[in-house]
Amino acid sequence: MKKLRRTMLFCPASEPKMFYNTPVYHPDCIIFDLEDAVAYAEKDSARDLLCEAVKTLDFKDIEIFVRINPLYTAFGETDVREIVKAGVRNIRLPMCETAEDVKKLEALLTEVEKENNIDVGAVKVQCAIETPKGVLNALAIATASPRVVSISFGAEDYTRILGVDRTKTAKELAYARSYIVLAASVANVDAIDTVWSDVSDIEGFKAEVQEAKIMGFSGKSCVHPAQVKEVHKIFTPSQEEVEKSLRIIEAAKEAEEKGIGVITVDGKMVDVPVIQKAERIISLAKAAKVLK
Amino acid sequence: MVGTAGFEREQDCLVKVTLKDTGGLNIHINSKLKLLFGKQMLEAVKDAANELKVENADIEVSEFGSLDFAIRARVKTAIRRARGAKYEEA
Amino acid sequence: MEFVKNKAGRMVPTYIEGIGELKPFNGIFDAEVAGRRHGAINSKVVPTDQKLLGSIREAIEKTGLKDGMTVSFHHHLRNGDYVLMMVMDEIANMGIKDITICSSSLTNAHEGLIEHIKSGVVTGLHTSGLRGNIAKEITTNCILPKPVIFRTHGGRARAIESGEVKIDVAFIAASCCDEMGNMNGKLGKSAFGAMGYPMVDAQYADKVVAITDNLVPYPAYPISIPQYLVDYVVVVEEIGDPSLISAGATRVTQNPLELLIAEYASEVLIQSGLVKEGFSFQAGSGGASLAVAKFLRDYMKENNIVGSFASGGATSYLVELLEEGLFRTLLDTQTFDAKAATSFMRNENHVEMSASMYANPHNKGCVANKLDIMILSATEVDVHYNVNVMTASTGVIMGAQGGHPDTAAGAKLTVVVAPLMRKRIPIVVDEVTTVVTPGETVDVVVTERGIAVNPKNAELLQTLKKTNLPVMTIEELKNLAENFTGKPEKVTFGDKIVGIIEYRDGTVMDVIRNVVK
Repeated sequence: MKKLRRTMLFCPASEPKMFYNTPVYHPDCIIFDLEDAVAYAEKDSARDLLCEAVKTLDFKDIEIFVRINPLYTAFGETDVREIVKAGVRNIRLPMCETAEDVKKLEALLTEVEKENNIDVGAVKVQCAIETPKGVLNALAIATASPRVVSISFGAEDYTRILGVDRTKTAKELAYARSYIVLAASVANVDAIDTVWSDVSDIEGFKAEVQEAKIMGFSGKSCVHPAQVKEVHKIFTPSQEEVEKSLRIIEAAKEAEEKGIGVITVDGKMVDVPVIQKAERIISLAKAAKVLK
Repeated sequence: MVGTAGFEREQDCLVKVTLKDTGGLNIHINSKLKLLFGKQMLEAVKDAANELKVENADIEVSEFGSLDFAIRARVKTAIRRARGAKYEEA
Repeated sequence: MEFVKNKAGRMVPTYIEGIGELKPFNGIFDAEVAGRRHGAINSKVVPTDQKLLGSIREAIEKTGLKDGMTVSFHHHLRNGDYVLMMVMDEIANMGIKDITICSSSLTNAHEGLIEHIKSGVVTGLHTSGLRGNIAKEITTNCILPKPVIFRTHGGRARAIESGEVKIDVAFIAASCCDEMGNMNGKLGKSAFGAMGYPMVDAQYADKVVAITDNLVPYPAYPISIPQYLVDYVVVVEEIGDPSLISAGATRVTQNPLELLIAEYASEVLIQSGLVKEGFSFQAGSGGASLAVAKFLRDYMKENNIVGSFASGGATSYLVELLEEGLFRTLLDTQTFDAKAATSFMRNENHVEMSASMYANPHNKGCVANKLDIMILSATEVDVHYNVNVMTASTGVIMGAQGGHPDTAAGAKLTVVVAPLMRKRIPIVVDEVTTVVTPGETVDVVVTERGIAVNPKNAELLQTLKKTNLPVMTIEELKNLAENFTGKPEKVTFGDKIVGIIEYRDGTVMDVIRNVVK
């Protein structure tokens, strides 16, 4: 079953206390940010803090991502070298526009892994797609490397480049979000929805998360602990959904054991995508602890 | 060669490193919690200096309730800055 | 000095020069009561007598205050109090010395006392707590010739009523007072709310002086302290600074860490089964403590639960709950903010109570006995569930007993809410620096990373284990803290006793020793 990434909580790598306080909110993933959240003058100190934190603190089952600086900056390559050495195994690559961007990172990662006796391919990548060009290349990006485990959409830069404003109904993002979900599905990676920065507007946030779930996103980027709880609630399956999924999985198992090809549950045909969806629902239910 | 790193704020520390040619490591720690964690703080500073192979330096730490990993990180950054680690703007 | 081990495992003295014989703590309800209540001297006031005096000096002269006597004050004016210092400065000016101050507590407004202690005007202190420079001077420089006696709110009432402390002159600040001494704290520019502490002083002190900045036509109303207990009335420009007496309305915290702790705590309360129709509740005035009230409010609304009473320490947040009809009554011994203070006049269900009614263990039953749920904070908790609210881990005094031990002993369920560490200091430790509230009265410790249940609550522990709450043993919680902070060194103290922690029943729970530089 695929790793759950319902929530990816952003956390600036610039303050020591963020490293040990952020995990108490139990997001599925934390993205420690070396990029936008850190001033130029402190890029080095943030990197050092991050490396020491990763070496010392136990994040238990929270998946740790690091948003590095783009590889075309002075900091990007050093970020990759230092953090992988320190133990980071998931990198968020900002501003992915082409498959080339991913391959550049891949090459660097392979080199660093070999230098440090780490299994080649161990470090995974999340591609942040934040521009119109990136959106149109989403499929190429998502399939550029086996290291890619998820693509995420960033609306701020996207709307800025398009020259439009962000609205509450998010019409201006509709195509981009749909396309990202599609590309992710074909590439069999996670699709993560963009950040909602108005922390005080919880109702607006909840509405957008509902949308994201309906559209097929695997999860949402968060900027505040209060958001994490809401996302988990919305992604928690209903009793009905859980029961139905259990029946589907049961039936599939039975069918496999008996060597039956086609199965139906509740009068509907059950094929591989249906079984996978059922598995995801059970996984969500377990994560929400409504099922043991 | 002098380098400073960190901030004077809660759960952080400010580190000043002056690299020298001789004299060993002279470590001075300012902290309200020295009575409780002074030994660990000293170890953390030494660990960081050793990792970066610094044997002769004055290291001044003003700490405000930071954990050891932050002390180590700030010491390393200060050492690197003292060594003149430069960056180029993109 | 002879020491014995008390029931909390602490070594305590049996006798101290200048204080007398001491009994060690021997169980929360163990102490015997004997004898009669103390009585103040008899008085007579005829129709032509004039209580209204021209100055504080005149009042001090008329009360016959002499060297070696005990005076009392209340701290309802909190950081905005002018009265204690005005009176003590005058006492010093008049050359009177060797005074014992029995105050309900001392705040930052009373730093001027350092001078008077150093000059010998003040030689004894009884208080609920100490902070800031006074605390530092006493713990590090040992400026007081004998230890401070720290009492709980209930314990102070007990000591005064039993005569263990004989107050010669009580100086009572009131924001509204008439010429005969009928007074309250609910009206006036310096209004502060309930007068829970001095209600006791007025009944038992030999002489009572009301000090007010708002003289109203006779008779003043409402009457918190009646005229027949009052000897003199003095009018001054200001009894305090309103902006420091109380801040604005209390807001529930927005800090996500505190909210998380509060959420866990409210989950524990709900699982305990105690949050039901007619239940009673008390919580601290800020941080995670008050936030628990917010989560409970949501639950109570969803389930149509009306509580019998909330008590405290009243904040405007509790007043809101009262006004929403979530509790039938608010029993108030000390009002924390201006907004809550105005509620008395609007709402007859906001009821003032004396500190004795609130928490005295040696009367015919106090309100704390009827508490279902009590939410407490802590500076430290140890693996025996003993709680410290008095000293920091470095040994410096920075808090107060307040009503902690009183409510913990009375409440059915006592829950401590605290972050697992403050800066680098672990809250859960092997042994608390100072025992204030004994572990046998503490049921649950809730932090943002884990929840520990006192093993004596086997049923609650089983119930909580079935939930998704991060339940663990108190030792595991302590180890978790130490994983982050490292294990703290033990602080070495000097051999001078600078403070006695008196339990609510008059026995000695612990002592505070001087901090060595």
